[in-house]
Amino acid sequence: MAPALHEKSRDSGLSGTPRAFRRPLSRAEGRQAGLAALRAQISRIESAGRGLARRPVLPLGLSALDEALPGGGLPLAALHEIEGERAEWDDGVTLGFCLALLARLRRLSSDNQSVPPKHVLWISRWGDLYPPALVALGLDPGRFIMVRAKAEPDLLWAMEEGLRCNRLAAVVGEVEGLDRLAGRRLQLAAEASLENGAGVTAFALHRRFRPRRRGRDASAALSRWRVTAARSNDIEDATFIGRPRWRLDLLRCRGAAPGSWQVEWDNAACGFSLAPALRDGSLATGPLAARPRTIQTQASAGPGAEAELIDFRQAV
Amino acid sequence: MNAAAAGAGLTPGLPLAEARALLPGVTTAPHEAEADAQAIARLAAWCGRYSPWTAPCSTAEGSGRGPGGGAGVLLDVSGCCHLFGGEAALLEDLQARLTDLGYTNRLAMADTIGAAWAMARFAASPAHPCVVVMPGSQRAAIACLPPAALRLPDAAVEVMDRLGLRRIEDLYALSPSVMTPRFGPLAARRLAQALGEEAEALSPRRPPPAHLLRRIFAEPISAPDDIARALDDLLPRLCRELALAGRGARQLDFTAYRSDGSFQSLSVGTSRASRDAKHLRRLFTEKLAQIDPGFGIEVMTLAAARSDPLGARQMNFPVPPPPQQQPPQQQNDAEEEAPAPAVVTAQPINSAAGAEDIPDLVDRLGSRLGLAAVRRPSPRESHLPERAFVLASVEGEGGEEKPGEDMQDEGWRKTPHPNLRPLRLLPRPEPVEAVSLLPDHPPARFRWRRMLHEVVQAEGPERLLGEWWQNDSILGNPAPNVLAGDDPIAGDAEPRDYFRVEDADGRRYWLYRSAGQWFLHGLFG
Repeated sequence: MAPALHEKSRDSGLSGTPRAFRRPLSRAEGRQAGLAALRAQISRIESAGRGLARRPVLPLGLSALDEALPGGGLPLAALHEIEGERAEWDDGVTLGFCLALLARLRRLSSDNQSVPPKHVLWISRWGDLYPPALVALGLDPGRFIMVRAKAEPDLLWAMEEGLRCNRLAAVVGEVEGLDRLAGRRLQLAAEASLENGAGVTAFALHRRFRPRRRGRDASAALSRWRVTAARSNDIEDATFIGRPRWRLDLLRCRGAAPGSWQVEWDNAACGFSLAPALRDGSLATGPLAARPRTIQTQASAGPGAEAELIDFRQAV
Repeated sequence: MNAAAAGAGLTPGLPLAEARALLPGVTTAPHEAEADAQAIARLAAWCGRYSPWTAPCSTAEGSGRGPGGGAGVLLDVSGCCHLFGGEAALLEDLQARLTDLGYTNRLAMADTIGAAWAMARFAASPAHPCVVVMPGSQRAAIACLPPAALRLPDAAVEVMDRLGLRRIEDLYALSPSVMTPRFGPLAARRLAQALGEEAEALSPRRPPPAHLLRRIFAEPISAPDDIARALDDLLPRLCRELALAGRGARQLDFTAYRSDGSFQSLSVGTSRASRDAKHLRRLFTEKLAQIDPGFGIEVMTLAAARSDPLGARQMNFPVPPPPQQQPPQQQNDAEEEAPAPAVVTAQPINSAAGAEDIPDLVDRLGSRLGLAAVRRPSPRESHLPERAFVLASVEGEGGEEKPGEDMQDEGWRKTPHPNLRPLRLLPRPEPVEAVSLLPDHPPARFRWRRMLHEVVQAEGPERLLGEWWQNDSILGNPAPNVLAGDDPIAGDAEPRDYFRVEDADGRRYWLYRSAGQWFLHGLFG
């Protein structure tokens, strides 16, 4: 019952509009207010009895992203899917985004000194994650438990087992594919982890290229991201490589509209910033970029990103 | 038979009437083979103080008569001698202790079981009870001994004696094809074993598990539920027994004996000692389905095959949550609030009802995937990327961690240039076709996995040389690594010039050139 209603509200694409706009309500905006009330009601129904009324979130530190996500950040204790554009060549890029999220998560929990740092369970069939590079992101490789699974069912089983252990911060599985049933199981296990702990977040890193088809997009995961590499050589005098730049496509997210952003990740600051291509409104690539909402959000984060970028150039 | 009897001329195998004639006052006792075997097994266990690898050597081996007749104990003391101050010192110590215990003893140490057996029985004398054969010299040492020293049956020794082969060195010249038809197949083998030409394994005395429980069924069972119930019955009892002994299990063996006489064993290991029945039961959950009851199971045993000391543990006191920091699940009834962003509430670990430790998780994962598949990266001081870490076992990681401590392993802080290292390191560098405009310049374009990449930005080179202090050049032969494949890279010890490059799509790669050939070694985020 609830999911169907939910889908509808999502398809209207009107959530996540910045609250900064204060004009007399037009007809469309009146509809929007009504929808927002309905959505709040639905989320209350959905969360009834499952302790999800106050789902913890992970603020990504970039207002454009956080405003577009339900509850002001990436919901924790949930399953998130991350995929690349071309799996084989984008393995590094999807991994970079996933590690960036883990680094944010680590920073969020390190603010609280009373909690011992938690572990991350990393389950893979390939095992090509390079632990020393984690140091650059401020992650402690010693807190990663690397599991090498031989087959896909083992991998999914290990992910589910990991979600039951509340001493973990996150479970990352490098999956080949996630069918509806497996996704549902993982999502439920992640939600259940809230009941006796701070919740364990699951990330499914897709490592096989899947043709884009509408019918297969159905998944029980709370959100799905596509990460694409973006060129970072538009700084004319850059002689060597700086921060990575990605285009993030939020393909689907429960309780939020899809969106597209071009961001840069800074290891030292442990934060995202909007890439300059967005600042002057010249972003015309990407399937979802033409939505008006992205243009609005970029305007709100303009000056900060500019200043940061100039700093970066001087440092280089 | 004691020394006095031997002095009067009595020998083993002598008829009793003759013995009485030689020594009228002889007292006799019936021979108890069983008791002898038990005594020698006890002695072998006692010898565990010198080496864990001990085995009783039965009297049945070799001829029953003469000097070869005595029973013995074999000790594999490889790597143990230095603990006692050398080989001779170890033997002297053992000799003194055995004499104190009242045993007449002869000791020998050699490279092979056969040579030690021969020297102890035929070369050692009451005046020199300890013989040490220098490594590699067993051929010369046993040359003068009689063939009976080769642990051969009486018949073979008798034939050799008749043929005039009085010393082992006479056999050196004979080929196995000559010996086998005349003395039986054992002779050539024993000789080869004594000389170290053929391997001979010691089958060590294995101590029975100290904690073993047995369940016998009135009727053979076969239903999976019944098997599970039997385990549920045995496991808490075993845990109570372990608790009384102050130990925790590291390995449990669950054996099902079928009615047709065969048996099947399941074994689970834990990463740290545990006697938590619930936890151990979960480890078996994955494996119980593997039991094939066949025609029915009659007996089941559950044994703690390995156990470690585990003291009594203080149960955690429940910590009442502070009033302003309520766990989220207690706020369900506040439904008039719209779902607002909640900060992650930090919970004291002790208050979590189903708190589960990392080792428990590792055990559960290990029980299905194998404990070798669950690893923790550990730093290694090396500038070579593929050698900069090892995957260690997660064992021994306790729950006692200082809050807020990060990077507990100092080595990670010393990682060279973590910013310049790729997030993914390919298990082995993949050769790519690359074109660079000038020598020593980064490539202008390269082809990797059928796709042409146009390089728009590059950074480098970073030159890495082999570790000259290692014997084999590491660049050509990377260390075996569980995560990375352990095949050596084809190539030589040429230095590698690494470049970070970005292609026209913005993807970033780690390429290196070695001996004019380009390789792709990693992917950046």
